[in-house]
Amino acid sequence: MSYVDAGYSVVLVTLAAYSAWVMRRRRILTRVLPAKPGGSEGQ
Amino acid sequence: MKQPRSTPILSGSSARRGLGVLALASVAATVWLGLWGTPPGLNMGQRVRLLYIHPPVAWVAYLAFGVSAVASVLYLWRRSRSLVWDRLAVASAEVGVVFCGLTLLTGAIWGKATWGVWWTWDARLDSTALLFVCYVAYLVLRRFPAQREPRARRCAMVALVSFVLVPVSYMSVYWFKTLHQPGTVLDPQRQLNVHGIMAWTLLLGFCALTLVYGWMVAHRYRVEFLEERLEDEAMDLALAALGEVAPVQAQEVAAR
Repeated sequence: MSYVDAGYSVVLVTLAAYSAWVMRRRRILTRVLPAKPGGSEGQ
Repeated sequence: MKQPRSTPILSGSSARRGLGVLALASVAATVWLGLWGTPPGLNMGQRVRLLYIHPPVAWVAYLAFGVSAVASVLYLWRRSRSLVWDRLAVASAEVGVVFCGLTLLTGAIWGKATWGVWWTWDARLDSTALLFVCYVAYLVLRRFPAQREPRARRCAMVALVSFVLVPVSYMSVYWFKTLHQPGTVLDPQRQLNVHGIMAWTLLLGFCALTLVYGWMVAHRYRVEFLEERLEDEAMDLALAALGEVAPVQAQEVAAR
């Protein structure tokens, strides 16, 4: 793997992993919390 | 009567989805152009392709810390004090830490490719590493158990102090003698260092990662809001449980 491939891989993998982590936290919190009237937790 | 939304900003789901799709498409276009659609550099050869990701990643880190600093000022200012700014500050700072870490990693890879070393003690590298450490400390401070308002005030002050390092990091290549080149995109006379398809790809890289930042902050803000709600619900449950237990304890004490 060249340095260029390594640079692009590091950026793409890190951003994908962080996004997945945030979305997972959001999904869990949305499931745990009861929906509030007027809220958009279930979206 | 129309009911108020539970969060005032960043909760529009379709807007967020649209932003996500746009961010994904522009990142894909940047990667394609960066790896295959642009010619190799005259001096740097294939290594020049790192140009399309390293400066945009660094720009987003600076932008994220800047947004965090502005939100912190708005929180500290009495007339605009709201937990909305506190949530935005932490969401932006956390995304900024991810991008600052990526700046260090892609910089190290580019350094190894051009200088032959992963790391060297250089003003730009040191100030960026210090910036990263300061914002990691900010995130650690957020996790200390404390009441919401004092914690928000304390963190806002730390975010502002940490932000001082952003202009220091950016200007370090002009203020000190460094191994890092003075300006990757603009030279000291503010003239473009790159041209043609390379300049357009670089511009696309800046736009793509800024969109990714916006999408990430929108979701991270929502997580912060939901975590606050969870804290409130847990507190309500604890108080309710205490309300049920306390009379029983009082009866036991009276019986003794």
